[in-house]
Amino acid sequence: MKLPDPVALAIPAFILLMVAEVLWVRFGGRGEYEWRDTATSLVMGFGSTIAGLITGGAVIAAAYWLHQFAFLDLGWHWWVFALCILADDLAYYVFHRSAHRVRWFWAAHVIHHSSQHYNLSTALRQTWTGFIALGFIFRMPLFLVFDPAMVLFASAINLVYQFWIHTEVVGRMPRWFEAVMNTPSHHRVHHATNPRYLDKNYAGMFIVWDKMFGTFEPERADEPCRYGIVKNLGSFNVLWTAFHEWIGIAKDVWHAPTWRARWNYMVKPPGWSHDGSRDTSETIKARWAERQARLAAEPAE
Amino acid sequence: MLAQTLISIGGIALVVVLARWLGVRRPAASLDAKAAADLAEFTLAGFVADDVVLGADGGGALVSGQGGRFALIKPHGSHWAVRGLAPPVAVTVESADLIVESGDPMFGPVRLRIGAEAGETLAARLRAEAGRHT
Repeated sequence: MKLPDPVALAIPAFILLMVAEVLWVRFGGRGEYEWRDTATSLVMGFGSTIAGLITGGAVIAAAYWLHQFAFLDLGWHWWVFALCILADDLAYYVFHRSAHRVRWFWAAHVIHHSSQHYNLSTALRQTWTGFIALGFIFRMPLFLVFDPAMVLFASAINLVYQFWIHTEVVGRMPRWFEAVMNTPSHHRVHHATNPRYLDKNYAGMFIVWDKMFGTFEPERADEPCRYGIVKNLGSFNVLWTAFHEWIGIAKDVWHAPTWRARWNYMVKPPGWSHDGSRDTSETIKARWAERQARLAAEPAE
Repeated sequence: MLAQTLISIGGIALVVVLARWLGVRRPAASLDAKAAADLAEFTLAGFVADDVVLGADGGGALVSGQGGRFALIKPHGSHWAVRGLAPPVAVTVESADLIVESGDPMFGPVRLRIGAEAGETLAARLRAEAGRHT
């Protein structure tokens, strides 16, 4: 079956919505734009589509090769589409969680988090090195059940859905929607560096995965999100943006004292170091919790 | 494919030019000593600020913390970016500016306008501390 490309169809809408958001901010609405940050995000997004064109053929070939071993033939019913979208979103959750917990995957994904702003252009700040990071392997099991064209369509729907949640313009959606779907509020938490919010809300379309697997954190009115990464880039240069974590891995592997440390610099969580001199999200959270406890105890002293 | 590429390039140009032309950029919140200390403590886990040296033109700050740690702060668009520094901190003085090396080529050096005399005094102190750590 020939399916449309949702991303190609959505590009004009992406542009119009960004223009509308810029105008909204200009006339006093909630949100923030910095033109150099936006330029970096959009050039990264454009480069990502070029990288996708170069490497996409290999992923599609692998998908069809794997599909010959499919153990189910569900056909093309509407409910199969619905099931595929759900399964693809679960695969996305696993990928996304891994992308924050394994430095090799993080090296590609960090690009998306590297803006200190949170607006629709941030959604398009995408990696050029997703293929090298092997992010596609998380969807591979789906090809054993669903037709590759359907899976790729579902992935594109997922990508398009995630565009609109990158905004500060929308506060909260209706309660029922917030309960089931990923929303701007949930995803702001995901992009925040506040210790409370670190490594939370990995969902793509459905927030239920985070609630099921214990990674959900609601946005709090008393704790505004501070966006970016733990170690913000301090640069708008697209080459630094695209490759800084890969360079960091290369340096660490080169200088590591043992082969075990070399391996760990690639597969342990971001911030891991062989001598414990750096901070992971766990150490950041632990120190924050200690500080909160100390501050809470102070008035009683 | 060509149409999609042209639409993408045109869209990028439109949004970036519009954002610049409309001047929607919000300047970074002003940085006083308390804000600099808070920023350093928020960004660097376990950092406890002791002393703050502010650039007079809002160009950044160097925050010294307990345990010989430092936080170097520079403006980055509408926000501030922070690097933790461990001694020895490399500094030079150029006219009225103290130039602090971050040791990170992506982050670059930070130029703090603190006056020639204050710059020399601080540079001498940092070099002495660096001597103790080398």
